[in-house]
Amino acid sequence: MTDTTRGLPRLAIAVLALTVPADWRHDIVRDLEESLADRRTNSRWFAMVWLWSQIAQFVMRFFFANLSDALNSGGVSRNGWAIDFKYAVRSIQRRPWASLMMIVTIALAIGSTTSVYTVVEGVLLRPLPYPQPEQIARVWEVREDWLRSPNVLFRSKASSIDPIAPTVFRWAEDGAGFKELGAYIDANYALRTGDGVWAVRGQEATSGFFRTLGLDPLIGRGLLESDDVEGAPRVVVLSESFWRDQFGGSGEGLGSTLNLNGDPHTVVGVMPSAFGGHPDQQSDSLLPPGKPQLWTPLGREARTGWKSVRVIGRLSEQSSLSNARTRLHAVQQLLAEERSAEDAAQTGDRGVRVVGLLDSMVGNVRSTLWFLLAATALVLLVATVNIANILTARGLERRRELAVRSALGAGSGRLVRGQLVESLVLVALGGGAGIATAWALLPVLLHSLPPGVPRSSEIGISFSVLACGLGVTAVTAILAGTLPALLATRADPQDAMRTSTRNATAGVGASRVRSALVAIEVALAFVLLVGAGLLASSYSHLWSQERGFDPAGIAAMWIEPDWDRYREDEAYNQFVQTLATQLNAEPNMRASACNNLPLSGLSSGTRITLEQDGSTTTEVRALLSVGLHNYREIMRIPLRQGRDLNLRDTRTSPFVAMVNETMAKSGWPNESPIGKRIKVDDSGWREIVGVLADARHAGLEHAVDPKVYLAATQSNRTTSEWVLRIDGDTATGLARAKEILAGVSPTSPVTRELLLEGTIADSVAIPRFRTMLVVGLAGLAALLALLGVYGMLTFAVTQQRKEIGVRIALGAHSSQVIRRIVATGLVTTGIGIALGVPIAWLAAGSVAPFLFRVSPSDPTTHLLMTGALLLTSAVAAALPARRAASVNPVEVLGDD
Amino acid sequence: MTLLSFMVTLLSPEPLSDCRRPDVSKTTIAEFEELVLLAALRLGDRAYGLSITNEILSIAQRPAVRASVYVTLRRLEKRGLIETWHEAPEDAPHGKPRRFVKVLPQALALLRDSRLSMQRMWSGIEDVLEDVQ
Repeated sequence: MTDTTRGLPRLAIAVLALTVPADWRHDIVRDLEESLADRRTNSRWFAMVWLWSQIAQFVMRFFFANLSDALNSGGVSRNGWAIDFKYAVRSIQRRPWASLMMIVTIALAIGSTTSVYTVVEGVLLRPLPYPQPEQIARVWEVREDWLRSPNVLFRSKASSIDPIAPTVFRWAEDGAGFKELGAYIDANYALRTGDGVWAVRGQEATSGFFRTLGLDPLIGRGLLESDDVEGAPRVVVLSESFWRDQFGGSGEGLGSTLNLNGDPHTVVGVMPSAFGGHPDQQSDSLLPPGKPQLWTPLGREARTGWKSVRVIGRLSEQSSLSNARTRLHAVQQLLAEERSAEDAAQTGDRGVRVVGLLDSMVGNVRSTLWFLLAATALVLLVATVNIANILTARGLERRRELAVRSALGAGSGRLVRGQLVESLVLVALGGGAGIATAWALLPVLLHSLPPGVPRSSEIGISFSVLACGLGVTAVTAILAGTLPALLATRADPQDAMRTSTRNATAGVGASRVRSALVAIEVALAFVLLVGAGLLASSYSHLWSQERGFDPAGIAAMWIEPDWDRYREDEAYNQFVQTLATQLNAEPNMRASACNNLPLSGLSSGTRITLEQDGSTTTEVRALLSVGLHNYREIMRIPLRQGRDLNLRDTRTSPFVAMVNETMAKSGWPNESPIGKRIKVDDSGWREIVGVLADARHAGLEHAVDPKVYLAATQSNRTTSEWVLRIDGDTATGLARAKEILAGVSPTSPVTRELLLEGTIADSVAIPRFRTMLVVGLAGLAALLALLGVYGMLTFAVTQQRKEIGVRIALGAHSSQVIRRIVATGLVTTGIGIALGVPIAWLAAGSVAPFLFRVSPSDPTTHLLMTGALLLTSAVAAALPARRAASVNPVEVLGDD
Repeated sequence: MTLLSFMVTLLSPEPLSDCRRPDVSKTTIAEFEELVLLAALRLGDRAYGLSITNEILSIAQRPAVRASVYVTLRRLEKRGLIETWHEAPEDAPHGKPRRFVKVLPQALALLRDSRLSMQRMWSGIEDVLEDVQ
């Protein structure tokens, strides 16, 4: 192995030289070489990692030893700190631009890091507001057969199926590793008072629900096991705010009755307002916004039957998530054995999934937030390098001054301390501005958070991260600020004076270090820019996806029909017809009842039997959309073949259906489905009369699933959604529609409304948020890197004024001077980009999961960003270059 | 006040700070310094940076960072507690000289003091410590 005899890399020795005095350096180098030789025989890579960690330790420890020696050395008077402070302030004022640049850099770095980390902490890291929240878990059933389904919708829902209530009561009987198990569903209540009917958001819950969360009522009681019994008395527990609204919070109200959904309920308790009552915030989108206001017993009606419920459980002390999962699996096996063959066919093979409550809440934003935090850390790194750069330049500029002071007898302690104080003052100013930036930035950030982000209302500024950001910048500033002074005190004053008097390049080594720092900044900025470019191009692909319908001017409202009045099909159909007639009589409005509006978050899949060749049948799963005859026309879904549904498709005419193109292609490849027959939900055969274009349903990023369209008149599915196409202002039109509804049926409240364009924008809110933020951060990093290029060249021009003057005097044209300076800038940027390409390549994995139809190694983005960086750095270089070109040789050469 | 202290500084043979409080660092040694000195004594004429680091690691079974050992050696030398010189050892793999360390009598005195005061503090509490175990 020839390697084993090789010495330390030259770079390592140069880095050591920063702080380790020469007489000790040789011994240390020798020592490290010896140990390195032993290590290299194992693995070169690890040997290098070991070496650099050793180098870093030597540099740091000698730095602090030197600093402490210098501060303890002679010539330091007691009130020297005050003098140093005054001196620092004066020195900062003397270089206002450089100082401002540094303060702004620190402020932006600290401000952006703090605000992004604050969001991460508030959403992901802060514990939930329940006692021992880590013991609480969310439980789902898993449909193993759906996991293998070709349909996107089934696959996406397969592992988060809410079990039916009887299953949960069985789990609770077994315990299954849980101390408590609770079930709940979001519910909508029509509250009847003397003033009218109001939609109130609430939850049906089992007695285990409150116990699992570990919450005690403010007054009265929570739900008891006796409430879980079928046919138990109707009781209700109120939220504190609802109780105060209704009863003035005077301790009264317990024992009184509320009319909910037409039945009297006795008020038995009040939960404290601190309790959100809503551990699962990805709630049913069918409900009025806000927190639940009341709870009624779930077991009363759902103890048997098929109602799906959400399940939370508190693990017993000895149990763990995996333990609970294993025990639940065992219970599932028992249940499966008890089931009849008929039931088993319907329920399929059911596993379980147990996830910590916090994890279950933040699952879909977790990766985005960590990704953003990583991007912010990169910006902090760029800023740190920039600070080091500016301060190194300052120190170099001062070498002459320091040498003079040293020659005049200033102790090295004084010199070093002066620099230290100046760095600290800059950090303090930057830190103050950074805190202000964070305060200003956080509300903007919170405002732009996607609507689905859980717990965003609980977010406040994080002081721990503020301190951390300040710490990082302070250490950098102290290192970079005092290192030049320490070097200066070690240097020969005569030598320093001579270098400065010649005014030539101030140390080739030092300027190399500066160029290297700038190149690193450019490299990091390039990585961020590529990431931002990829995300932006991915987002534009996503947004320009074909929707398959025209969302502009579409509003929708969900109605909770007064089931007392419309219990009979006849009455309900009459209600739908009357409302449809009245809405469509409005001049600017077309309206249709429907279910499962695209992109509204709602969907229902069903089994469809296809007739093929008249005899064979196959079964597929497809989405079902039910609407009035004008539904397609209102949504403006293009008709590809056949005819639309119309008023002649009634309960008594032959049953018909339309399918989307995906369904047509998968069901009847290479032939037209028109005239073929299908069965929906085991009802009779229907003839396919039309094929519609594919309309996105699950989301813009998801593929389109097969879909069947039926006429509401030929289906027994409830259609309590109303889709409205409104000419003119959509919000006004929607308000008018609600007035009409109030006229037709005053006891059927609207539970939810939306404007479809806004909903589509919300459906891509997370990618948009991610893209916006990364683009902003990348811009910031690029700006800092360009400031680095600018600063480096400005400094070089100042240092080389004389040299430039000589060139001009010897006949160099100003364009040659400009070209030379700009070329220096471009070379540094080029080196930075060359460094950045492999880093970007390594980082591609982390951005890949967020990309839609863009490859992480997309050459266009890489080229575009390279071009942009080179172009902007040329502009940044042009300013100092022009200054160089305007150097007057007579003045410069006359200086000495 | 400033003027007064300035004059005192001029008159005083020692820096002002030394007049006010005795410099503790000159009369005591820190724990890590003690470890380094003891290791150097144990190694005798084979004491140098790397061997001292290894000795602390193997005998005291404490993790010793190489850089700390070197920084401490430099400080001890400045304080006049050790003496160092370069010499090419016979078994030198690269033939380059090493910096060897010799512990000076002043350091021995400090170590003796340190051991004595520690022994005094330890005496009489053996029972308690056994209880704890």
